[in-house]
Amino acid sequence: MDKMTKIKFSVFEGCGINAAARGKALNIFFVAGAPNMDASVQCLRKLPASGADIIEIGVPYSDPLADGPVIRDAYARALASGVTLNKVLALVAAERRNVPVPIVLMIYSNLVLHRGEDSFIGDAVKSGVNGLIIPDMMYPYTKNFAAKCRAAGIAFIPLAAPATESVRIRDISLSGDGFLYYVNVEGITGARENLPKGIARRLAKVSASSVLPVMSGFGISRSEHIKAVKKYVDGVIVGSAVQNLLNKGEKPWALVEELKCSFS
Amino acid sequence: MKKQKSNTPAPLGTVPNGYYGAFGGQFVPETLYKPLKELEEAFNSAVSDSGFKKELSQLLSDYAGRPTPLYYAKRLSAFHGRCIYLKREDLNHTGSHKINNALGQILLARRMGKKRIIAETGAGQHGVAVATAAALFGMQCVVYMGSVDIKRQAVNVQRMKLLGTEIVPVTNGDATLKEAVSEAIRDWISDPAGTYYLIGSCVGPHPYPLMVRFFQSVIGDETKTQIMKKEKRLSDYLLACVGGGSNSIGFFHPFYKTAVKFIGVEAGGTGGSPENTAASICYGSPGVLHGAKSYLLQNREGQILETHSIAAGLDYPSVGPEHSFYHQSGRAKYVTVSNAEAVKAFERLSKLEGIIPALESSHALAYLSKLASKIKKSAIICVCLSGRGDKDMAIERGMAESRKKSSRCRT
Ligand SMILES: Cc1ncc(COP(=O)(O)O)c(C=O)c1O
Repeated sequence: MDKMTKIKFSVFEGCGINAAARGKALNIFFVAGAPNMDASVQCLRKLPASGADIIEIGVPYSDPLADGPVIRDAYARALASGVTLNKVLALVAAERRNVPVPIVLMIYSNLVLHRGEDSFIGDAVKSGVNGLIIPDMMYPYTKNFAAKCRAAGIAFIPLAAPATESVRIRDISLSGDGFLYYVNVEGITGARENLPKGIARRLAKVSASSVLPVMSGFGISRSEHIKAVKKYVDGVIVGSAVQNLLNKGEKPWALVEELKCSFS
Repeated sequence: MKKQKSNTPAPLGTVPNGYYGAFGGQFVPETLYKPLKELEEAFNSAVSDSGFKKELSQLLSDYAGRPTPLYYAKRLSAFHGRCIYLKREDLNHTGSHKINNALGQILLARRMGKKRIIAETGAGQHGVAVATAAALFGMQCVVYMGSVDIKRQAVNVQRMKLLGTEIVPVTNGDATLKEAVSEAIRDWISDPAGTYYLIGSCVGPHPYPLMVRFFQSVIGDETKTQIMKKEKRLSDYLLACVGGGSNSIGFFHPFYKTAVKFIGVEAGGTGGSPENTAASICYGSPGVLHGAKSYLLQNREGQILETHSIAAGLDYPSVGPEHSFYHQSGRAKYVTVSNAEAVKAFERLSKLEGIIPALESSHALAYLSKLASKIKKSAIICVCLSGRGDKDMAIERGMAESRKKSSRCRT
């Protein structure tokens, strides 16, 4: 499948900005309400100007199976201060018109199923969310859910991992929208010194198998990481490195600007 | 799912991909897709391999000490006024039913060429069973255990260390079994090719609930033969405690197609509200935890609750998906007993029969006080005595002392 078709599927479309036209996308993740809701509002308002092409918001959850200490701590802190799914949706709804890039929610299965798939999708669409990432919902269960998302006009963003075979990558990408989230490492979220050996070859293969644009995430925290992968993907996702600053009460703008520059 | 062996009939409503009715499935990160698929293939090939079955049954008899007796508890029967048999899983090597599953899965791990075994443990009984099996097969073993459980099950921690296992304390959340399972899964996600995750109950993503049931079904299979020999008929009731649900599912499942009534006893803790219990079915609602759809204790928002039980092995906010299915279909009944009731039953069995039961198993025993008087005089009840209580002496002493204190206050 050629790039034109890929872009047709893109979550970037209809969100006020065409990131694809601006080159490779930088997707910045942070946890809603960590260290506090004010910080999240600031992130939504300032990250796009710093270079974020997509914003991914983590919905606090008690049992984040796929997450390392930095994001787990942030979730725990947000939950302790009373952040709920409704508050995250209200945050998006309130800020939506101030944010010129797509907003994607990262949310665990139980929160979705607890509300009910249909109600959840409806609520997300209403608040202006453009896409959903559910790290513990696995293909082929995702097929039906992704179809509901597509019908509702929200992108279900599927995930692939190092051991996912080409055929499965193709099937997974066909079932979803927006982009394919490629998990670089076998492991949980968190900054790492080095990306795995052979990552470039692997990403090239993933890109060839996916009908969606491919974004590479997990373990990306520095410019060198982006420089190592940018040729092979349509974008990268940075989470723990940003959240680590937020957890310490620091601002992530400089880091995001620097990361954005490493694309050029 | 592959066709079941004829002696382990699939429950009605079992659908492909590891669903039991609406429950089960695989809700895990994509990284675990391949290792779960490989595990399922290895399991299916192992259970149809007569060499594997022979080696397992030899280990179970020569090493673990099976078959365990089905013991007619005369004085307990007299006390409750009904005929009561105890399935003596406490007499297994390492002191509980957990060894049945640990031996089965370690053979599978070896077959798959894995060198490193990881496990979670609550009461430490599963941890000890895995540490034992790993020692026997010369494999590296790491056990995740909540720091609260490390404190309250100190004897088992010492046993695991002696057996050569590394214990990793887990301090997240309420630092009990749920967090230990999460950390074990995170470890597995980080090394899916080299590590074998030896889960201790019939929870987790498919094929684990199926595998654990398979390896624990030896409990029910033996009980069936033994009760037929002793009574020339099946019992009217099977009674077992339910944490994750492995001793109970292994006890129940071989009787699935009979008229025998199943009662699963959950931990009622100190009662009052869900978070004072660990009773996932009685106080919970359907959701997803640790890779499976099942009943779980959660708040209005879908956040998983911290749980409480005096029995560390029951202190878990979810339950195997097959139990959720048995509950929804009405095949089994699930009830609770409180901490205090369990301790009373613990003391009673010790005094009446000279058997010190695990606090987990004491939950099943405690329900006899509620059940016996309500059923016909001629009824036969088989109780799964899932483990022995040596590990619980300190907790029992604490309960007894606080009871003494509070009775002093009253007088
Ligand atoms: C003796 C004993 N019984 C029961 C259990 C509960 O587990 P399950 O419900 O899987 O049998 C445990 C768990 O540690 C245990 O040690």
